[in-house]
Formats: sequence, C-alpha cells, structure tokens
Amino acid sequence: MAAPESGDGNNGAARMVTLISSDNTRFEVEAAAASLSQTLQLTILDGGGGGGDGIPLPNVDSATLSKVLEYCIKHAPAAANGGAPNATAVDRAELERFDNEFVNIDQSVLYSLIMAAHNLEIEGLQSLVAKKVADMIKGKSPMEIRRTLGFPDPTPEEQAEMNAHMLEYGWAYE
Amino acid sequence: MAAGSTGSNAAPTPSWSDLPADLLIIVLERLEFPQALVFASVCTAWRYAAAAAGVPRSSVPCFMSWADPAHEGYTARGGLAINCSLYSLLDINKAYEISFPRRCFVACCGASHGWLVMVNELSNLVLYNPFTTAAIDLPPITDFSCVQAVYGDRGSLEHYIFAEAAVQETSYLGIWFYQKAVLSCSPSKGGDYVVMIIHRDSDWLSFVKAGQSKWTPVITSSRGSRDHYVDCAYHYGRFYSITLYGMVDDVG
Repeated sequence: MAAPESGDGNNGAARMVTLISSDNTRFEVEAAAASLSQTLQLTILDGGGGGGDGIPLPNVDSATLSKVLEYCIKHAPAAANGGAPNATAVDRAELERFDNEFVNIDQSVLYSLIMAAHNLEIEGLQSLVAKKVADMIKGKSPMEIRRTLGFPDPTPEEQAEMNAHMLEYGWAYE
Repeated sequence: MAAGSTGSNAAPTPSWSDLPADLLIIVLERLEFPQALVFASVCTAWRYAAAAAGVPRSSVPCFMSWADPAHEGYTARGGLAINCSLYSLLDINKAYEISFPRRCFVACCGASHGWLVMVNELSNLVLYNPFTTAAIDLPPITDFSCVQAVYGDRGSLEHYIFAEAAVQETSYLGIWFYQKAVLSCSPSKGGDYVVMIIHRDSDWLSFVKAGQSKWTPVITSSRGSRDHYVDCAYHYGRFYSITLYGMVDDVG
C-alpha cells in the first residue's frame, strides 16, 4: 500500500524522521524504517517527524525503542520491496538468522517489545515475538510457564482456579 | 526483578497476565491443541483469551471433522495419518486443528466422554484422549476369527487376510472394518469402561471391558440374515443396538 520512498523529495539522501521516546531520548531514523510501523507511517506520510519536530512516543522507553528500531532498520529494505519477491535465498536466510538472534533475550525485554510492536502496529515484530513466546511455552506446565515468564506467585484463589482447570483435563499437578 | 538491561528508568515489572487479549490470541494461534489448554490454565486473563479464541474445553461438546485418508495421501503407505479440526458448536467459524502426536491414526470410528476411538496403522483400535494425549490400546484386529495376520521372513507383519480370501494392507483394513464404537463411561482415572463396536460390514457386534485382552462377540436374537446393525447406544448400565429393519435389542 505504501508508495516506495525512493522518488521522495531530495534526491539521493533518504528522508529522515525523529522519534522521541518516553524518557525524552531522540532517535533519528530513515522514514522507510520507521514506516514499518503502521501508526508512524500515517504521521510520516502527512509530513510529520521531520526537522526539529520529532514524533513523541509516550508509551515506549528508549531501551525498547532502540531495540524496535534495530528491527525496523534491518527489515526496511525487504519491506520496501513489497515482501521481497526478488530477495535472494541468502537475504532471507540472513533475515531469519537476525530474527532468531534478535528475540534471544530476557522475557522482560520481550514483553516491552511485543507491547511496543502492538502500540506501533509493527506486524512482523509482533508475530516474531509472539512466536518466541509460544516457543517458550511449549512443553511446559502452567506453573513452569508462570516461572519462565516471571509471573508473581499465584494467590491461593488463583492456585485453586488453576488446579480446578488442570483437573478438568485429568492433568497431574506439577 | 526486572532485568537491568532495560535501561535507566526502572521499568515496571512486566506482567504477561496484563497482555492485551488480541496479543494473547496471536500467541495462542501458534500453539497446538493440548498446549493451548495448558495456556488457558496459566491465569484468569489467559483463560478468557483462550475462550475468546474458541479453544475447546473437555466439558463443552464440539464438532469434529477430519480429512478422508482415502483422498489425503493414502498412496504413501503408512504415511496416511489423519489430523482433525474441532469446531465450537456456538461458533462454527472457530476451528482448532489437532494433529495427533502419534501420527499413526488412519480413521476415527467413535467419540464418547471426551475420548476418541481411533484406528491405528495396524488397523487396531486405540482409545485416545485429545485433551491429555493419553492412549489406551484395545485388543488387536487379529482377535476376530475373520482376520489372519501374515508375517514375513523376519517376523514382521506383512498384511492381513480377511475372510480367508482377501489380502488387505495392514493400514487399510481398519478404515472400513469398524462402523461404530461406543464407550459406556470415561476410561480416565481407571474408569471401568466397556467398548462396544459394530463391525465387519455392520454384521457383528463385539465388546471389550477395561483390562480385558480379548474381544467378546455379542449374539443377538433379533437379526434376520439380511439385516444390519445401524447404531448402538449406552444408557443406564445397558447397551442397546438397532438394526436396519428397526429391531432394537438390549445387548447387556
């Protein structure tokens, strides 16, 4: 849907936009990369984010935003090719390797990432983290999942509810 | 507890239970069926998300469909494992794919009390619970006098001979041999169940009790020679069969 950024305005130099994290750090990034976010794309198409203005992102802190932008910068060229019909197998393998490495991080960072991807509507990042979370859950019991994802210990009511639910399927307690 | 790597301003402890429902559903979509039930057990919010995504529960009836193995790769011998979809009766657009972990079932001939009666690749019946993945093998098809196993030189099963005449592939016989299977109660937690089956061109009725190693044929009085069993049901401690000609029999 988005028009390619190539023929945009000043020749050669890619258009840059500024994003401002919740803790007031400014990030300058190519518009093409920021446009992986459906939310930002609309603002950018309206001419926002250029010059000294910057686009404030009150829900995303600087640590998360830099991680999000790392993803966007890596994926921007393929996205600009419209799903990359002419991408080589090597390019795809390289992106896959990057993705696997990218989500190999602490669960608290994963949480911030998926929330940011959700807020900024970055579909690829959202499904990448969702897949990682699903992989972390697979083969684990409910209590193991809670521990893996850093849930607080269940309250007695929660524990009773969990036990009842597990009993319904005849699962053994952990 | 939050990792220090998230930067200078102390991030609030992330709580996966606060994840928006649409994100939970995206995670849920990447889990296969029994794991989706584990997901629902994790906390209240996740349970609601699973319900919204149509994950079936063992206490709620659902509609099951599966691909016909005759059309789906039967040619690949032994590779004809079926998978099925569970549909919610309340919303038929919500389907859950189940791939059987054993990947060796070729047909399904009954469902009662949350258990499926499956036919495995040796044409033997297996009770299988898709919610727990528990499986109970029933006595083999060679128990029936009309089926003989033929072994090769090395003692491996080659094929079956049906009715002393027809050679049948081991995985093919079971696809048409069983017409219906009914359970008297759930086999979970050591239940004292009975499995009743209609089989062999709807001509025979046989049963096996929990723990027994042999099928027992049922002799009924009401069948004429050209009649067939069309259904069988369990009610208050007794099995009843009905034939094409409308004869109802109490089969014990």
